[in-house]
Amino acid sequence: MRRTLYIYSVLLSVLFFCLMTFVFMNNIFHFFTPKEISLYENRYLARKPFWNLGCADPYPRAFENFYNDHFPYRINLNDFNAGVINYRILHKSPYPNKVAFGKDNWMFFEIERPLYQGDFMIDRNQVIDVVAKLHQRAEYFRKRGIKFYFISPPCKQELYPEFLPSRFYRCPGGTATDKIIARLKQDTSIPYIDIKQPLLDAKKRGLPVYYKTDTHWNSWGAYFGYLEVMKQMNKDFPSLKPLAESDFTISYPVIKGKNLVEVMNLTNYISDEDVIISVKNSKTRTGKLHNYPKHPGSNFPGEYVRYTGDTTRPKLMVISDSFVYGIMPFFDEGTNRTVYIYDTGTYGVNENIVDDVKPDMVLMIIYEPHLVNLIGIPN
Amino acid sequence: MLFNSLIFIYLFLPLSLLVYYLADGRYKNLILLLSGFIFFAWGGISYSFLLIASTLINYAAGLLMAGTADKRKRKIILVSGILLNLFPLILFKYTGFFTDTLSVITSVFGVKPLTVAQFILPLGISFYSFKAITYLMSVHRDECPAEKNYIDLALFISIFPQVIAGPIDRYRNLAPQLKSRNYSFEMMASGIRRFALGLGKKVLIANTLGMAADEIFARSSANLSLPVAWLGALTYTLQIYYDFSGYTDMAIGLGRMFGFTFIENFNFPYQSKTVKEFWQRWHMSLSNWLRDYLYLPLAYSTSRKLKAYSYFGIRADYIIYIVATAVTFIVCGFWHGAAWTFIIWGMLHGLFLIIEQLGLRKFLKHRIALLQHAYLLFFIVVSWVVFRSSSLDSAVHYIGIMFGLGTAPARMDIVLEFLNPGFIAAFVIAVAGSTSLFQNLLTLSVRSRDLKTKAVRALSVHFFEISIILSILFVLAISTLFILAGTNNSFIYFQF
Repeated sequence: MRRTLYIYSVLLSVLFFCLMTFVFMNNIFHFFTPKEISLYENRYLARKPFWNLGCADPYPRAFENFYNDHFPYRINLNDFNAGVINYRILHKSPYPNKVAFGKDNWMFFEIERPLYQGDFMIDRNQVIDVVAKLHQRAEYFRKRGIKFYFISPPCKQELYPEFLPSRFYRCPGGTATDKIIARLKQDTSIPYIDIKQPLLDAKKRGLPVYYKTDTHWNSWGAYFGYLEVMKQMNKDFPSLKPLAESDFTISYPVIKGKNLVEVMNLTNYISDEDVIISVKNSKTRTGKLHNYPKHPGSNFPGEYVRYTGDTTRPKLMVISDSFVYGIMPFFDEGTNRTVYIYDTGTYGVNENIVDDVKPDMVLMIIYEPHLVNLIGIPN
Repeated sequence: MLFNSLIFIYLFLPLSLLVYYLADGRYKNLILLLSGFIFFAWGGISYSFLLIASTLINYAAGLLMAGTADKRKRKIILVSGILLNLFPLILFKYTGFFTDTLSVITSVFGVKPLTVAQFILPLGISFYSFKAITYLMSVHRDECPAEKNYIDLALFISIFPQVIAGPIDRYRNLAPQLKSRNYSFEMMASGIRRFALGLGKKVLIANTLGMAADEIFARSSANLSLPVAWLGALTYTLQIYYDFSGYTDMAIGLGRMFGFTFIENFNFPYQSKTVKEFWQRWHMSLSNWLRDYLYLPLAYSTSRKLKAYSYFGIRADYIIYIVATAVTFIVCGFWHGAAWTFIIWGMLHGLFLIIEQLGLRKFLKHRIALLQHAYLLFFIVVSWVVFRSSSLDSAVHYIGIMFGLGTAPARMDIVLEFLNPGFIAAFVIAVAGSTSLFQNLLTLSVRSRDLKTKAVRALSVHFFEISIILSILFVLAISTLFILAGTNNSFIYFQF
């Protein structure tokens, strides 16, 4: 029996060493070389750091990041872990620090949780600073005779709290967003349009306004946001008429899960329902781009230009984050020309573009959790 | 570098083993020492100079002590050596705590708060400093001769499996092994088995439980209900055991892979019936260190000062026990972390040890075993809450909620949400594994071989060994997957 046990000891040692060496050999022979970019993670892979004796302390961390990112079959193994082990077998979020699984297949962005719960808080001076930044923007456009409108789409936790995981809570005393919005409403020089109630009203009608698997609103949500903005715009520009529901054809195709599913790379496992609202007899055409510089650090197109050619209507410029994509088709139809500037994180007045476009009105869209970006707090 | 990191398992370890076993016997210690420095430097290259300085100081102090027979001189060298070992520990670990506490006190008198530079705590400083002290004490007590070979002494202090989280091995245990070791496939296989067991305990159980515990302990008291608070406390109780004992298992396993036999650190502590027994089974290398180098000298020096049979109606031997235990456990708490929560945790343990000594142990001894276990577990679970809490205030609130003083409604749906299949599996295995159940089953299975015929016995050995190998490979593969998941760094928005 001693001999048998010896043989198994050798076998275990060899197998263990082979397993370790398989990965180790890859570092020498590079039989597996990952791409520079991880598409589902939306990022570059870490690069091999340079050794610098004068600044040696960060080297180990940087090298480890590089090593981890280039671990053979990392993405495939992570997919297997996320899809099969976590999602299929354990029925849980593979990345609970990124995505929280709610009720009835609703998903929520975990990073927004402290803001929603009220654990993330800003002080009174910071609230004043945020509103002051918006005030500056409103003043800038007012001085140039440009009508300015501002909306802040709420995060979906606010609209669908019934689908949140039970463990989510609200701290007494409100959230940082509540404080900013309350202060914003006191500053009458900022033409803030509250779109939360119209979205809740639409939800009461049984219409989905946000995706189950995305942080963004769907076309219905965007439409009701648009309607509320149009009510105000119409007062300043009577020629603007909002599109009615009868102007659309609507379909609800089943699609692959959206951004919250994409960050987990579970698009092969989880689907969602889309809302496609197509404007009947659309007159909109894509205009020539001005090729304004892209926002630093962003790969998104900095600009979209759409026009109808109807010169009796005003020109609109929209400065926004990703919430612009849902709302674009509606504004496209009603204006002479619309220029959309993707400026998430900064939400600047984009002076050069304003001087170039000479809009009659400017709409600024800042996703509620991004409001604190205005004073340099990353969301 | 952590044992449960990809770079350790798949780069550092195979490379170290390869070079170590290819090298001539004369160079093995040097290779292991260099591996230790690289391993340690991974947590901060600048701090590795601290470790090197520690090895040089202790090497010199040992030689100086050995070079003189003058008891007074030897004592001065010993005390200086100990102070030099403790100085960086105090500087890096406790400066912030002392200045904060001082600021609170002086603020009463209107003095501005003190501001000092914030230091990053070097990895493992609490462990290797204590290990180095055992060397000085061993030389001073003539338990071992001073080490003349710098490489061997430096290796004792900085041997990589032990440098970050122990066990705090004694010099007298490792000294002979530093000179010669036996290598065999059985030893290697036993090391791999122990390493895989530890990796599984850490990655699959402790980390799974830790996610729930972290989330529960992060809840404000207004949003914490009684069942959730108990779930958090029980989960943390298991998490800390599996985290620490898992790390120790990995250290012991790695030691065996390199031919060393390290001391054990845990012996099913949650099976204890008293706090005294708990400390004979929990972090044994630390409790033995504290017993030998703090408690006993303190008890001895106190006893020399107390000449009368009793003081204020209390027997002198009780006073000695109370003083030595109280000081030892305050130091024990403080060693775990520079915060009042750790000190109070240590004091609680000291207090219950004293109460046990004063009569509770006798009382419990005559009760059924279940009651004894319940007493110990109840105490341990509550004391871990103090240990885990971010402040004394939150610890008090948390414990209050556990005993029905919370305001949040007791919603079971929140508890059920934590109980996903992965958590339940980890929790059940953790509970069963914190008793000697699995070990007993294993022993029973090995013993039952003797009752079988030769052919059946051979078959059962094959079956058993193959099962073990497959289990190890399975644990390694799943643990790798779980560690890899931590490398996912996906963004909603493009970062390129």
